[in-house]
Amino acid sequence: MHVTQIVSEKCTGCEDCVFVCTLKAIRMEGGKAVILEHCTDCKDCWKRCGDGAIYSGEASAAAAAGPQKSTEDWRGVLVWLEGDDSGLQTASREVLAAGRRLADDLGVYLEAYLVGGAGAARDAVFRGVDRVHQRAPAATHTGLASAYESPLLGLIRERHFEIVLFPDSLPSWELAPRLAQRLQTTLYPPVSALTVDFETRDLLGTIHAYGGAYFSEVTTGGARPQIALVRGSAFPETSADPSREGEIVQAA
Amino acid sequence: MDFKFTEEQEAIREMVRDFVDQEMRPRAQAIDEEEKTDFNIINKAAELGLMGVSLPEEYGGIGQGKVGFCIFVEEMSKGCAGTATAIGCHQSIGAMTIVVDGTPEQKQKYLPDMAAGKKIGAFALTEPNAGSDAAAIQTTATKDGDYWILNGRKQWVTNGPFANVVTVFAVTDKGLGAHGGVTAFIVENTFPGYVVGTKDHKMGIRGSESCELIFDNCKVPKENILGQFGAGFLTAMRTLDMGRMTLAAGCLGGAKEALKLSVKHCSERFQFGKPLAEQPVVQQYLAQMAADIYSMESMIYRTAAMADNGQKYSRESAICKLFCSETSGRVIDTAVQLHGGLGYMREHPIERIYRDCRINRIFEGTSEIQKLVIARDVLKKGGY
Amino acid sequence: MRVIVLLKQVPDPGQIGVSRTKGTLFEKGKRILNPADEHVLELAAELKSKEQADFVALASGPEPVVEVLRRAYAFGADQCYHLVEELDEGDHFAKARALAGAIRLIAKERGEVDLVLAGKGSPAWGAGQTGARIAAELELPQALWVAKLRVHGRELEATQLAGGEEQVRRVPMPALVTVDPSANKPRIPNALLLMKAFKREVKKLGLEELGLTPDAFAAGSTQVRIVRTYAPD
Repeated sequence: MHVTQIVSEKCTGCEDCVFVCTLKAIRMEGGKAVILEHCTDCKDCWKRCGDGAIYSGEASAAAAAGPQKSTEDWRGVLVWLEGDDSGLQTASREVLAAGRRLADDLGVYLEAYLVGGAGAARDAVFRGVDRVHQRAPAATHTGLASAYESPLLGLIRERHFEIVLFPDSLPSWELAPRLAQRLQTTLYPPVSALTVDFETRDLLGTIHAYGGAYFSEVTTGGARPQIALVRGSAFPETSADPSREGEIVQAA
Repeated sequence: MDFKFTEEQEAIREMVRDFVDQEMRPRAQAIDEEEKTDFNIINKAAELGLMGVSLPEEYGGIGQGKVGFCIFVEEMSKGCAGTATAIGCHQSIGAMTIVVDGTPEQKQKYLPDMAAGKKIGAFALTEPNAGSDAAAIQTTATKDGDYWILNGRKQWVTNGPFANVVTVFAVTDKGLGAHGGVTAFIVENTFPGYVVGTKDHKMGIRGSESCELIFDNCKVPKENILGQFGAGFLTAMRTLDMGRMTLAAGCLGGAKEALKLSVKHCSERFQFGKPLAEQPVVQQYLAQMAADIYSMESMIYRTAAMADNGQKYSRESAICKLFCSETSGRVIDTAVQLHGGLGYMREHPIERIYRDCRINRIFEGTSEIQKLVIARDVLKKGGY
Repeated sequence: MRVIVLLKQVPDPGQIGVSRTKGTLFEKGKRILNPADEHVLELAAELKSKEQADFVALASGPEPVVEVLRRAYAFGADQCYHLVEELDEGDHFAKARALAGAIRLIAKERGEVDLVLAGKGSPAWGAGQTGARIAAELELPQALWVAKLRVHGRELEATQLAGGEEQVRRVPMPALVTVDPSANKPRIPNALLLMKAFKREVKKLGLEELGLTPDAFAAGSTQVRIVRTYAPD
């Protein structure tokens, strides 16, 4: 079963995807692309699509409304990244690595909401992000929540990521709990050793309790999206591969 | 039988413990060197209401009963026995005479300021020729119109150098002796003829200052007679019942601190390739110290609860004083032994605690006097 | 100015252990006021004396939680509220929704709330998320991990501390602030206030009063569920 999907509202009917698909797994129906059963999620079409109309996971109208009974409606991994033209911050590179591994395990795309310049966006792609939603840092003196909360919320509501990861930093603490509350979902305290239960696709993390005196393995009761903070130094960075391709779009 | 402290008592203990950790214990060694009562600590205690723990709420006190007050003294004595003596004496034997036997006017006049720590209390009974034999006091009071004129000397008066309100016991009728011939007076340090004598230099509890007080035709207004005329000895004994029990609580605090220091030292000090605490002989000492502490704690709070229930506790407070001063002396002596050479060094707190605790077998009635009191009572009313 | 302080009762870090057979944490002693919340009480007490703030405290949970509110009275709180609920402690979404509901109700009863204060975190999991979640529920701006707080009319000047660096934020009131432990040294409460605290009334609130029926919560699915706890080797 493939996870690659088309957002028909965004599809312009250019047929670029049909042209690149070597398996002929895409067909045009009424001027819009449709993915066929035998798709293997190779992502060639997705790299080619310039309209952001192809992604992993299915967006249903019901999913946008609120708490989800069905975890089926949520697919894909999103990471929050920060950087400048010289590249991504250390914590961001680690979160990217954690997200990349989960995306591979679940067979979905890794997307990123990046606050930073073009250099950071390229760095993100080279290190494994499939699609970067890039935006310039907002000048804010009242806190990050006021600047990034609603665009990020909009993106998550639109795309229904099943997992959203943040580094363990002040900006994340400002944003993640607010997003979690508005999405009526779980926020994992800083976790290391992230894995997924392949049957339920629930996230399993290890948190440090009582200043590291104890470790607790935690999971969720089925909430989506599963938002988690990622502990620093817990995930080795992925190396940058300049030949790697990915999409960079301007985010709200 | 319910041997649980109330939530209020637990809260007071925790609060005093914080105060001791932050304000008293870190200063104890320096105070010992300076040989002076630390008024920084007294003033902070006053701000927090700790100068009136035993005093009634209607006079601005905290209204803690005897159990609460014993908890307070126990915790303070862990940090600095000298400062604990100054603060404890102020509100146990210092102010308690007025609480026990004062008229409503006297209470209104003195207790609010004492509870707020604005006036410091003291108790003047002992004289050069009258200590254990309290009936032999020689300070006299003679009537002169609306005043009584006091003449004589009191010695080793705790808080004497700075006390504002002192309960002084004087002979008003030589012919009647202790019962009927001694009267208690509330004497203010501003009264004419009130003279502060030389300060004492003591072996321990050096954060508590004591001195001689001299009454040289000291004029005391007649409304400052405390309790019944001629019944001063009763006032003294009733006050000492409480003083002795709280002194026992101080002994308990010192012993607990000594055990805590010993456990720490014996766990950290390695000899013959293992911590001292693993030596059977050391464990025997620690076990005995713990047993001693448990028995002290049991008797003090049982007696304090009796007192709070309005039962007579003169014999029991004497037993607490005798047993706890002797026992804590032994516990602390063992603690010095466990510390070895370190325990004899001035830089280690156990050396000070050892000197501090020695007074407990002497003041507010020596061990011998306690035995006398207990034995007389047992012979009169029978044992248990 | 009206300040609401959020207090949490937590296991005493010195009084916990882990069961090897069950893989669960157990508590050996009584629960205590979250140590970080002592700093919140201190800040509220300072605002009470400097800004003549109305100092209100709120805690939620089962009956024993009332003990931490006594601590608030000892710090000089004007009124304490106890939201009685037995929501799962790992269900931050539900806890935040319930507390936000209680704050709305208190605002109705006592008047507009200008500042909600919470601790930075707890000994168990470190930094906390409930503060910012409540800010979202109440549509309030926030400043987290605040080491210095100044009030300029209707605006707060908050110095945040993160990774050893200071950032100054200006936040309009009403707002939510979480307090970094470096902000102050909590006072030792006055013994008289401490004793009086036992006699002061704590107002009880229930979820029904807040209009929160079980379907206001996502029926437990939003909790962080602990699978097992173990001590590192």
